[in-house]
Amino acid sequence: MKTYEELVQEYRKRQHDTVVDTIATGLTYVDEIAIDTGILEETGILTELTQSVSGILPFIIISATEGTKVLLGKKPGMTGLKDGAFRMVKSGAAMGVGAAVTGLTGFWAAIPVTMGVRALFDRYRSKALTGRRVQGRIQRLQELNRFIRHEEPEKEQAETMIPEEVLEAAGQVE
Amino acid sequence: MSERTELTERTKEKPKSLWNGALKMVKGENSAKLIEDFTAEMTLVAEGLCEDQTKLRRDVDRMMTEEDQRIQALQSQAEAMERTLDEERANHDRDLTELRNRLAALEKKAAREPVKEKPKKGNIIRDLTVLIAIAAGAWIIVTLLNKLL
Repeated sequence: MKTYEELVQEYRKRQHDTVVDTIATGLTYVDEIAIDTGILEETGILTELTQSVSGILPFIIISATEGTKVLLGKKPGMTGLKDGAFRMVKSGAAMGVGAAVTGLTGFWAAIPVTMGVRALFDRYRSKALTGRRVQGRIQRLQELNRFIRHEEPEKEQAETMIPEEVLEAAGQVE
Repeated sequence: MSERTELTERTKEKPKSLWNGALKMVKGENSAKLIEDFTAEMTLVAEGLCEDQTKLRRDVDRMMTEEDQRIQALQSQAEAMERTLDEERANHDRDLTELRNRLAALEKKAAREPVKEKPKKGNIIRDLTVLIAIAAGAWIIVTLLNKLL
């Protein structure tokens, strides 16, 4: 039997969302890197296509990963939606910071800044929002509970069915 | 080697934990941080366990399906074998009945035609002829020998 700490460590290792999102935000600069290194020309269909795809790449990746998790039954739909939205907001904010840095210094400096900001959003959390986060976690657990109950309604029904002996015993106690 | 490494790590961690403990004694625990950490860990563990449970349930379902398929295949094989065995038994019974009938028919035939005993007279005459021939041969040989010598 694993201890609580071992479980926490194990499940923490399984979470790759931060890494995926960090890499995805870094990939938003792939078009500019390609143009700068000469792989792509400054004008052309391929360049325009790469530019439009790289801009929304993190959001596509987030949608795909969260959608897969929901479809595979790893998490409830509502939780997946919320997680996806939060991840998108964080990635978007990091990309905004990156855009500001790009405007100031250039995109080579913006790449580590964007990736770092995205990683830091998951690492450090605002103390002022602790209450909201706790509330959100309670909701997540409630949704998870409903999700599990919904998955095995027959089993639940069988569990909730009270045998006659118990009812008789309850009557005797009264 | 690994034990030594663990011992070294423990030795390194011990002063750190002592220091952390002492800091906690002085500063006191930050309840907001504790709540944050605990709820985050609990949510993580609950979701992880749910994921594991879902995976295990799927595995069990898959295994049950496979087991059902195997049982069905075995049942069909057993039925086929039983059918073959019945056919073989029926064939064997038919052969046995046929053999019995043929035996009974032969017995009846044998009962109807009694065995004819050969006369013993012929045998005696033949034996006597042989003996006489031997004696005659011996007499001839003796006579010839007497005449020649």
